[in-house]
Amino acid sequence: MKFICSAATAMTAWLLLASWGVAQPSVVELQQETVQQAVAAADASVVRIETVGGFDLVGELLTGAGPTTGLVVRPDGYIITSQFNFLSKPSSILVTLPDDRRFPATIVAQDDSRMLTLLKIDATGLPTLSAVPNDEIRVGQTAIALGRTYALEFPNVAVGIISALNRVWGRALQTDAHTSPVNYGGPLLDLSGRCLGVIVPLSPDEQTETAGVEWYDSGIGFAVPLADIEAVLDRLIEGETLKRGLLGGSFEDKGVLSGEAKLIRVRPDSPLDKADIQPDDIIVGIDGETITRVNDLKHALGRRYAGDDVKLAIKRGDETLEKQVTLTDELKIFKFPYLGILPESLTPDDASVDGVRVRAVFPETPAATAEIRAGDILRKVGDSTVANEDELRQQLYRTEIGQEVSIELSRGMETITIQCDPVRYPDEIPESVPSLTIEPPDEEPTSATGRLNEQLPGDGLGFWAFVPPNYRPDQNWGLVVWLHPSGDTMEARTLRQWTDYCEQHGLILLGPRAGDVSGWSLDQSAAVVATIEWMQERYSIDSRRVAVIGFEDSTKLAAQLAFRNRELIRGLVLHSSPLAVPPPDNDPDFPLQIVVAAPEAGETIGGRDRIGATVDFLREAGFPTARLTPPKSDEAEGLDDETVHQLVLWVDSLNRI
Amino acid sequence: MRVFSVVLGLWLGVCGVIRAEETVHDAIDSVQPKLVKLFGAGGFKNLAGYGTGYLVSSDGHIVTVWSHLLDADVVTVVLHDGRRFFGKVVGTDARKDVAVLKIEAEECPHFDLAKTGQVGPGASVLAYSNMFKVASGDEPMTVMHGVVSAKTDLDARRGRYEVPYTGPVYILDAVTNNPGAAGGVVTTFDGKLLAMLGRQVKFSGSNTWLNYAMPIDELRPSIEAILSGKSRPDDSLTTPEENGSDFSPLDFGIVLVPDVVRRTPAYVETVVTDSQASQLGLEPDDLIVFANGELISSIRTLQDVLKRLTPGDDLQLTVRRGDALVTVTFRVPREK
Repeated sequence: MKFICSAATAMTAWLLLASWGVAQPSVVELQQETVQQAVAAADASVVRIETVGGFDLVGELLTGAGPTTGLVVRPDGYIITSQFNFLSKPSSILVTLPDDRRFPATIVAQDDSRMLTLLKIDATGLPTLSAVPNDEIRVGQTAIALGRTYALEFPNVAVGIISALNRVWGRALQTDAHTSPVNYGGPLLDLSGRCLGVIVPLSPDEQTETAGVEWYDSGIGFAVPLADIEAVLDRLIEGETLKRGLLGGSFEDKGVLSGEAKLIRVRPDSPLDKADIQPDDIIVGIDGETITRVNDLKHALGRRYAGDDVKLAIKRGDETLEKQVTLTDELKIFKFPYLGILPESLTPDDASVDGVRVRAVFPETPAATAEIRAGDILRKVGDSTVANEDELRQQLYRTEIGQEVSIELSRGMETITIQCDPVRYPDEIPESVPSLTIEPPDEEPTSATGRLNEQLPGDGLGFWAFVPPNYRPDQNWGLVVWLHPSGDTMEARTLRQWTDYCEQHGLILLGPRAGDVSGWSLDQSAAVVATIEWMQERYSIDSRRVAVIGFEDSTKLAAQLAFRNRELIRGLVLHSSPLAVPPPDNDPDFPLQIVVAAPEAGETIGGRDRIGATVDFLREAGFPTARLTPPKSDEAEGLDDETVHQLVLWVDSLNRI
Repeated sequence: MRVFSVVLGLWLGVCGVIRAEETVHDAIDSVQPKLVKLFGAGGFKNLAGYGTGYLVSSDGHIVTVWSHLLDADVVTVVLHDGRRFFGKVVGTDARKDVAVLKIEAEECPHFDLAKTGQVGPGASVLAYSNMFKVASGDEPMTVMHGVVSAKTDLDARRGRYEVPYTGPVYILDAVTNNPGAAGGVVTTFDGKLLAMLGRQVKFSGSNTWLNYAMPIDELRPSIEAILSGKSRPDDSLTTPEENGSDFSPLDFGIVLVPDVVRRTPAYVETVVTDSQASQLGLEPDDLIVFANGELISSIRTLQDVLKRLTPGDDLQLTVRRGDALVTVTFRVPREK
């Protein structure tokens, strides 16, 4: 603080002198001098980290071997740094102090919420930096980012300003000083040499370990406030792994423009459930802070960790309740309850049926046992009326597997109430799904049918599509997105195999083209989404029956598409390749079903049944996952006919309940 | 009275800032005429067919980076006022990554190579270049501001940078690593020439793009040798291969674990009896982490270091044994 004052005094002094026409240092020189003094003041606390061994690739990212940077936070050898620096899972970590002394380091603890790692070296008397209190940090103030990667003698410097506070759900400061692997783990300083925060790659939308790295040197960088780190430093020193804190509820309003935090679902055994907080309750406060939107709650939770106690203010009807809950790091995996009916798929603006008309009942299911029949119209689950299949699903997913529900239905003129015991959603594809008889429309539809060939404007993709000749907009159509493998779009074959099925099962085919013989890259997902949206704007697409097929090397993109566009894609096929990206949490609001297709294990490469492991893993994570074992073909020629038949049944029944 | 002094202070402050900005404007105005746009070979495979250069003599000598751009029969040079000339390469120095062109012009505004500056990390600088060929005729160059992020040696760890140039460089926090920027200049805010912008390269340590510039002081001897006619055009774009003596760990009595993956750590498997390694007390399971001060992140990096040794040198190895670091010094044998 003293330093700032003197800098300010100096500046005023020279400005006065300058105005009298005396040669004085310019503003630029003064800024430069101040920056260099701040760097010199912090220099001794910034250490170099080097690693030995480890992987080359983490996800799609080629990791460097370093060196990277760390910051001394305790004189007795505790060093905080970014988790990014150990992505490659190195076998040994070495720390070099600015005075050239080298030490082997051990990992003491991780902060998985703010993506930090605490290291310990066997040294004492190390200098630390003082933290700028959070309430003193101002947007617009100068921020200096330091690393110790290029030269050991002096830190590398990048200068910018604080761009925003409370970013990434309250976890980080944002700066436009350039941040990258050359300073991740290093300090962000103010002009007096105090520490604002520790530089880490972060992303508001993603939580994977490499999230945010793609923004390096872009002017969008993040740092975790040192004051926040100091608040939990003792817990980290004790070796506690800190994780993000979860409540275990789903809210009615989703997305960035969400409204009040009204619960539609509470996970069993979750912190909310244990505090007897129920669906329809509204969370209006947390530890005295007012919550008016779901995003307020996300911000408040972002700053807290699993194990933290919070006091929630709950609005239930006219009452306001106070509830004490302990945040958790893990929720019980959601498993979908299943009745065994296939609803008739109606277009959103079709209000002809008030309820859910049953298109088919699958044999040996709770619905079959309760003697629900095709043609019945389901009207109530428990005490709640259900006007359409989404409402039916929502009501059913509030119940638990094995918990009896009463269902009221109309059969002809009769109203019948039956009892049903939902079971776990099956992994298998139904043996048969009745085909539809869709008459071609009386008048020529306004949208083109048959094989289409389109090119989206700008950087958009080219794609082909097949809309069956009996397409009519008052019917709801499933959408099958075929992501071809590299080198071959397999367009003719795909078209030939699917055409008849499309007509019989009400499906539309979409085949985006990668545009490059080397195949798809992961940054093309937005472009593929644009082709799906193009179809949705022009055709009546059933949002519950949109599936994407990945074949061999396109499975990676298919999985990423499905995992990151949950509201858009409900089915994912991984053909001839195991899962390469981790799946998100199973979310009852965005059900996703998966088919893994590959020849029988044993014939796979490397002797390890990675396909089988993928299936087990996905089922464990709560995703209904079917396993298909197509015959092994000598050449990559695309899907075999039997697989296509199975996939048709699967897509057509993606909305079964 | 206090109100008055605050107002006066603000007014004076504003005056000061404006005055400083005027200095910068003047400096930029003096630098721009000394820069030229270059158009030559390229235009395919992500190789830009354009670049930047700067005048260093009144009779039309231009310095730029020695690149594929100059592989054309003629290189078109566009001056600040839009005049076009054909440039001829009069000399190159592949080691310093510089080339000198000559155009038939007189009384060119130019940098005086004897009047250059030196700065340290944190210094505010301006970078000028025709990145993305935004300018083509008499338009001025793109000016970016930033600070010197670091002053480091590109030579520090061989193989980490794919650049012919080895030697000290400035790393900038401005993103100058763009097509066409190579050959541009870095100056102080008052227009003093500091460095020449380098090529588009990645820093393999972090796999990120490197924004570097070569200090003029490092380039001056080469440029002056070419200007005085003491240097001839150099045909080769590559630096000569190093002649290593190709030592292996076994020459020191060390047997490493099998090298199975790209980054196999350099663990000692066994130590040969009566060898230097056994005399110096190396043990199985020691992990070699530094050799002659260089980080050994894998067996391959160790092999690289050993290949560069000369008989009679010292080889200092630091090993991690449990939680301790142990350093020993070998004598490189006279022969293998």
